[in-house]
Amino acid sequence: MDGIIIGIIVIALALLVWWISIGNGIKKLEIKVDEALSGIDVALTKRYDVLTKMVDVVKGYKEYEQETLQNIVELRKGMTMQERNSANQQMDTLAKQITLLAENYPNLKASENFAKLQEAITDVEEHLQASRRLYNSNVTAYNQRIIVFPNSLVAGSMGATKKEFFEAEEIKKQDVSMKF
Amino acid sequence: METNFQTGEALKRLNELHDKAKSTGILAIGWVVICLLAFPFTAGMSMFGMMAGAFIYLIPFLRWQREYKRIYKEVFMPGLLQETFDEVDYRWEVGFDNERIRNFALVAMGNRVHSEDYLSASYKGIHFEQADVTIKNHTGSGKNSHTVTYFVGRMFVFQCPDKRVLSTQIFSEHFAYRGKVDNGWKHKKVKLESIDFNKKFDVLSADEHDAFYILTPQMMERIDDLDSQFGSVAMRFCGSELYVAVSSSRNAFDGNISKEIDYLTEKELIRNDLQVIIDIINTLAIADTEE
Repeated sequence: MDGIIIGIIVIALALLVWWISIGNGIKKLEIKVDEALSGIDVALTKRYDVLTKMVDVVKGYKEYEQETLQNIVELRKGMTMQERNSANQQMDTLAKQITLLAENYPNLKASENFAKLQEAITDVEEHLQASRRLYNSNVTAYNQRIIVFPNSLVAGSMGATKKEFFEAEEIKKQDVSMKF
Repeated sequence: METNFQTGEALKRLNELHDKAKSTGILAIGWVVICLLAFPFTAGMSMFGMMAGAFIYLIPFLRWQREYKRIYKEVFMPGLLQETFDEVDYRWEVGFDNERIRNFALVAMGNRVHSEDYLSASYKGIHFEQADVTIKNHTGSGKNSHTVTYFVGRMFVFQCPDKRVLSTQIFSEHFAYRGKVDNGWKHKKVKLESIDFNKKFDVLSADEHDAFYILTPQMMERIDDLDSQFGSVAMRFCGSELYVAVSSSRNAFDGNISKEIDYLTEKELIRNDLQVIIDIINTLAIADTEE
């Protein structure tokens, strides 16, 4: 009888240790996802700032539709992934418009200030891509961890749910300048 | 005209040295055979004879080899380097010092390090340095001594000022005796989104974001191409520098005293050695424009 009780206690302890270790693993992955997400937010904010400066420079060359920039979803804390994606897509559109405009205004394109901003936006966008890939990679690991049985039991008890990916614009998935 | 004459004289001297090494080598082999035949009758004398023969052969051979190397480099290197690269500084007697090799953190440091064929130059505006490096680790003494070769090949440093990243190491899975960064930066293993790349390479970085920043899908493909070309590679991005180590069975820019020299063949061999640098720059797309 004592043996059975000891056996049950050992099994219960082993289950508890397993439960805690799986739970901790999920928590660690969640922290990594959150860290990567803050990296995306930083990159999005930087991109917004550089684009704002670019619009200011462009205004000097042409009466630029001010609402274009104002249309960008205001970046704020606690945005959902969908809002982040939407803000990023609108910034993509704005960046394209500015590039097109620069093509039509050689003086603008040749301006030192604008050239510096173009370099800055390229760098910021490359960092954004890195943040996106890092975040999505962590989300993949996290989602896989919480879906697989029996981890899903622990994840379910913790209220862990699948996380959304941060989508990239198609053109940016294709190629990124590798020049050092 | 004078240059051609000088080159002709030098090539003549190289072939003389080859002939000397060859004939002395034949004599040495003959001597060893005689000693071996005498071994059943007088083992002690035979052993002494073999050692003395080896000693007598080696002293002039090493002297000839050194002269061969010097003349070879003087004949071939300046012209080929000038026609291929800009801002050339080539010193074949020296290489990277131990401290630099340690700081590259590409290969584990043994206690016997040799480096030569130092070249500093630029190609398409990218400044680089390279040298042949051999790293061995010798342990024990006497009969219990043991030497392990950690690395034989070439190391490169490329200056890439447009991007700055925290230390990120990439090793082919076959690359043994890996270097460690010992300046306090803790490197963590990074898993990228490419399963194939993760299988073929180990990535360690002081900053996960920087690893993803530098290792774009295109860069991963390029590193894979480089790995296929050289068998195995070790790379490290740090600050604005890129360090690369590729294993090689022969020293770069070196002639072979045991072979008769052919001017055009040797030139081609050296061009191939120089092409390795161009291949790395082009494959990794470090330069502005590709050829």
